[in-house]
Amino acid sequence: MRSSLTALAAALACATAFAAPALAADPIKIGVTGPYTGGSSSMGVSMRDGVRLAAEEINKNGGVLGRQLQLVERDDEGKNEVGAQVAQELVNKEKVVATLGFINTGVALAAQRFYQEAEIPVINNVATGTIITNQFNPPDYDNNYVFRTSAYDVLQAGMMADEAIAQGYKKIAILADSTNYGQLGREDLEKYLKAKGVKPVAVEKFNIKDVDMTAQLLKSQAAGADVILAYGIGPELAQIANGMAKLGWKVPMITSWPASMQSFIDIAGTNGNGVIMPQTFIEDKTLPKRKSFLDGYYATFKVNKIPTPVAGAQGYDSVYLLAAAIKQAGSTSGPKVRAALEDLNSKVEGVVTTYDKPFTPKDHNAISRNMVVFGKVQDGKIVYAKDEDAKNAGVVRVKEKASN
Amino acid sequence: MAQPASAPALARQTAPPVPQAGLGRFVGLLGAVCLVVFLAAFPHVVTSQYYIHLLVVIAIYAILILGLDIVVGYTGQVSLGHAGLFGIGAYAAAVLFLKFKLGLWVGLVAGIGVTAAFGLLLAIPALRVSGPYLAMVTLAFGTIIQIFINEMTDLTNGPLGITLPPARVLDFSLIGMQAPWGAAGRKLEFYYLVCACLLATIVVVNRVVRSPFGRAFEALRDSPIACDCMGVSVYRYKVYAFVISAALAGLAGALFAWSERYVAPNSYGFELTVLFLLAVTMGGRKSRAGPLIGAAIIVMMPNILADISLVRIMAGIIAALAVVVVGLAFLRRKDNRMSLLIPGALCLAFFPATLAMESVTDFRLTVFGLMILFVVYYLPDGIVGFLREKLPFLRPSHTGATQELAASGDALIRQGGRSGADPLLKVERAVMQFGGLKALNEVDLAVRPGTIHGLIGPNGSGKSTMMNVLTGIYKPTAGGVSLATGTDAARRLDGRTPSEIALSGVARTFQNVQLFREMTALENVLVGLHHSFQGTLFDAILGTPRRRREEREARARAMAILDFVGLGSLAQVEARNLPYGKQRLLEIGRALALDPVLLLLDEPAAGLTAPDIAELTAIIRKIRDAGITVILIEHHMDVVMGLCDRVSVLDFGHKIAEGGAREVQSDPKVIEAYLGSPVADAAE
Amino acid sequence: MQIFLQLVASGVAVGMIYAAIAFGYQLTFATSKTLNFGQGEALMLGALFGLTLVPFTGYWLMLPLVLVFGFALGAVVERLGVRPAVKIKSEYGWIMATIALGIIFKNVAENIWGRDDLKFPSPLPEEAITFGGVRVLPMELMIVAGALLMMLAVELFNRRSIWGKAVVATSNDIDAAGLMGINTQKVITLSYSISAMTAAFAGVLVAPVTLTGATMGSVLALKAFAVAIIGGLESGLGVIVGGLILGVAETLTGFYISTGYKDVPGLILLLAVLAVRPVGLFGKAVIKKV
Repeated sequence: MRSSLTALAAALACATAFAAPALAADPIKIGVTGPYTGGSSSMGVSMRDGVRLAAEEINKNGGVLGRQLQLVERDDEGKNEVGAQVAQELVNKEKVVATLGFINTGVALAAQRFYQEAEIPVINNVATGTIITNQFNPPDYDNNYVFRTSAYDVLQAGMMADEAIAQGYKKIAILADSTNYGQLGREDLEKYLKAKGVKPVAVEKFNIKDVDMTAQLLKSQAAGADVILAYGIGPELAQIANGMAKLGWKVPMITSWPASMQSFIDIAGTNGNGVIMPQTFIEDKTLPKRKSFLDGYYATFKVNKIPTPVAGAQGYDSVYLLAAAIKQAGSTSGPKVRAALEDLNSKVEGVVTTYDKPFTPKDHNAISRNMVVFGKVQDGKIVYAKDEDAKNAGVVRVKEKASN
Repeated sequence: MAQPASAPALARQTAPPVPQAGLGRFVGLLGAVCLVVFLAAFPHVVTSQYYIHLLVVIAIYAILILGLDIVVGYTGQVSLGHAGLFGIGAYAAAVLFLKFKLGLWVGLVAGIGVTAAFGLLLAIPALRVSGPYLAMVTLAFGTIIQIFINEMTDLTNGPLGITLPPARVLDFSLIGMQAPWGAAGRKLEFYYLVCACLLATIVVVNRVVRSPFGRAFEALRDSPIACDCMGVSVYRYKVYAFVISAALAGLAGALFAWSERYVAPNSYGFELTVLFLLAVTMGGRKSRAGPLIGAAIIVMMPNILADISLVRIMAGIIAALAVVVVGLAFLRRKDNRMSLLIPGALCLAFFPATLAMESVTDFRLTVFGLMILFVVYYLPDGIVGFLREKLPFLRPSHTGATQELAASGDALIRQGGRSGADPLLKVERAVMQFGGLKALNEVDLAVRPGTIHGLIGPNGSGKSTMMNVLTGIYKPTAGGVSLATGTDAARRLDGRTPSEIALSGVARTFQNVQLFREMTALENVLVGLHHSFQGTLFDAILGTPRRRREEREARARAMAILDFVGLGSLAQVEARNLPYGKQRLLEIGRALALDPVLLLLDEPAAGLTAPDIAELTAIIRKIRDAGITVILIEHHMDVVMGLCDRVSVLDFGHKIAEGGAREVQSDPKVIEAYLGSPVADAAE
Repeated sequence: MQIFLQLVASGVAVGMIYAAIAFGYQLTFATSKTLNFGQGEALMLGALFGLTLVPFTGYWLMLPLVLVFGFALGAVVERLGVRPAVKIKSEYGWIMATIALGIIFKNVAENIWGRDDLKFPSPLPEEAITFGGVRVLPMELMIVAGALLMMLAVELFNRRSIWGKAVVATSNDIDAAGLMGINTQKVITLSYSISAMTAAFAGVLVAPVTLTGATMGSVLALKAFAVAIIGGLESGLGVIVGGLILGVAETLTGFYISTGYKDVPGLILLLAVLAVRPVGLFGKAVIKKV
């Protein structure tokens, strides 16, 4: 994968070098920030590769405004202070036009303000913390420069809770990891359930890399839970599924989206079967765009499976959305691109959906609830959990105008 | 043979040249001026907010690392908990804002105070252990702090973290005025605040390490036992060092919270601690410039590694340097040329490796690890240490004051000797048991004041054990030790700590020389004089007149003591560089600095040449003549016979004889113990 | 009561994992008064190396290969990280060098095996077995048995073989052992090799129930530190007891107090032990010689 990319980069460099007198336009610099090393790097790398793929496609087709897109990738290591430092470098030194990325909600919260202050749009394409897009809401701020193409927590939490209630479960146990991500999700879940008049029978916590989930599960079991809502990322969610099998306790499990990570599928094995979670994207080739995306991804990065498909797809789409906005703004100035994003005239065909006015000045989340489906783990694959979704897989779910 | 006072004076004229210390001081001052000018001018030359913020972060890290250097560099302890302390400082400031809307200034004070308190909390159990144990305790502490910050949601907002508004350094609206430097200047207020904190930290650290506190820190690193026996409680001074270090970590943390304006629990983990430690060693321990360099490196490193072209250039430079260094080593046929080959080859190989790589991000941590290894192997004294070795004028002046020190007359004996028939020291039925072995078995000992009391016996007879019981290093299993000081009733010594015993007037030397190796002869004696300093830590930090007076007096006295033992000309030589005989004498001088009533000499003549022994006996006699009681353990029988007024003989933990020197010499039991008998041989 | 027993059973399994790693610390500390801060990474490399072999060799045949791998790895760590630092008597040196080697190993593993946690195929059935209402995985039983067996084997080696006796002699008094003609340098290398070997073995032992990936070692190693200190770095028995205490304390706290504070009692216990008895519950007090 390395060599082919290097070759590509070299070819591109040569091409631009020779064509330079003719084109003469500077490339458009776009920051890409995420954890490419460390614990959450599988999401970061999938996102980055999705972004690379899209940028490559756009550049092949002549770029934007006659200029090439140049990605400035920086590893934020999933650490707040590094994320903040990366943000400042991208803003002040690299002078990027916009930035895509953020896997970890904490990093987004620590780093976004630099973009906001510099009036540079930033599109969160994986991080889900609800507060992310509300950090700089009017009237405290004139304009909000933070956008998102992932399904935020309140939305996911609502879906998870509703699904549990709809299936007739009364006694809900919540398990969440002790990170920012898990705890924000747990808060959203509890709030939503409270609004529905349901009080969870157990609310438990687990740590990243925990070896044993016995205590958490026994507490839930002792409280008489008949369903588990789990907020965490792949490996630990898998440990929960395995722990339940060990204790011989079988209740349905509804999780946040990362149960679609390959690590969950691998580690949980058959214990993971039947676990459902909200998904914006399921690795199927029902639409031409999806087929070309998946084929392109597999071929370019020499894999037969995206480590974290949702992150890859959302990353890919975020580039097209940004490109469309720059094109519409006819400029790379931050405020103009932001304005264009908030009022996109053209439809943008992405992998997750076809975006039709995805953002408005008041709503900076591209994903609405109707666009998210439940995926289900089945024999090592993520499939549609519901038959009607599977039947409509080929139908593009477009954002509801009324939502939010 | 008895060396008159003129001999040291003579020696002083022909003394080896003392390092040009004045220049070291000058370089330090020049560096300080450069730093101030650089910090003041930087934001006006480089206006990019990015670089200004980068410098702020470097300065904040430098504050912490300067503090860490006190623990790592001066006291030689490895702390893996400083990221935790840093986090406490940050949270102290952030929580005060979250809960009480208290701003930057209160936050800074709280950061220092709260973190120092936590440092104390950690230090009290942790510093009873050392080495790997300490490393692990501090590591556990850091982890606990992280868990608590994460869990105490009511106080800390849990994993969500705390967001802070832009810091308000000076609020002119309170007095109804506009900031005189306008809006652009306001943006720099925080920058200048951080710079001021950094400079203040440098001054404070400088003063502390040059005070008796700093000397105690270095002493306890070089020889904890000797340190305790000089009346400087190792434990207490370790705690001091740790708390000072924690306070600076807290200051850095509070500044960091207001600089990043967002704190969250996961920022203060193990990796940050490793970074800090790397910065300390890489920059160079025991210096002010080192932490600054180290901080700059660790902050800039991720940025440099993110840019592949920059990495390639760097790798190219490193490769070129490696070629030059190795080439030079071979041309000059240096001894270490073979050992340089491997690192040289590695440095060379690194360059093509970076060319092959499309991005270095994935191998960032490997590069980081290699850097640590490189520092540990080839740069153990850091960049500053390396430069000091190559460029002698950069070496620090040894705690200043190298001007000719006049030896003041009353070198010895402030407590005054005593005479009379009542014993000064009484040991009653002392038993010291190690497992099944009784190293001392109901030994009685009475030492009359103003005498030299010999303690002899074959190897393993319990002489050194007795010494250790007397000085509190061992607590006797049974029996009592008491010392008749002054006119009061005798004071019990058993059960007291070594430093308490030392302060009550019992000084000692060691069988294996236990000098503070990296300190000069003068500083060694100054550690012995530690008890004469009344000044507090605040005196040291503020540089009060009292502190300066005490230092002046102590130095004059230390010189007098050095002259007394004939080392006046070697005052500025590091103890490890002294000849062996001189080291023995220096130990005696250091012990005398304690103003002892009783001096214990543990085989002072071991390994000395004949002229050295002559000098030694003369000095011991002078000490006795000054009224100090001496207990002498010695194998050289002529020394013992020539000096001792009374001799006790130990064998297998029993006292087998006691009396005048001649008397004991002819005692058949003593002869048997020394020459052996069939029975004794069988027992061996 | 049944819940309590279930918690204890799970705690014992977890505790034995910690003990198996802590055992490695104890081995090197005995001979050289140093330990490998990258022990967790030795465990991780053992597990990942084993994972690569399993498709070709199966689980049981893989074990001896992993042992050899661990043995070699330990020698490398000692040679690169510990020996130079010990030579110049730098405590800081070996601590930082072993940490650095750990970081490098982790990063290299990330680049070889990827960054995702992987599934380690279990050699035993994954159905839990029930003992009077308490359910345990066969693999958990194997961890307990395997760890005990491993410690027993090392103990036997120390008592019976000539090299083992050299190890014991060196632990008791390195200087005297050197004077008796024992090559203490080699003994220290050997102790590192055995230590890394036990870690690698522990890695393939625990991998089927924990997560297998480049970061699997870090958290486990930290817990094992606590265990080694609680039990005492000088005693094999102490390590087992310390591991059991910590493991059971974790599950019980998780259930009866709060899952958020699960890790705290162990760490507090660690501080308490150090405050009261710095050499650990089973450690021997050391006599200072002057």
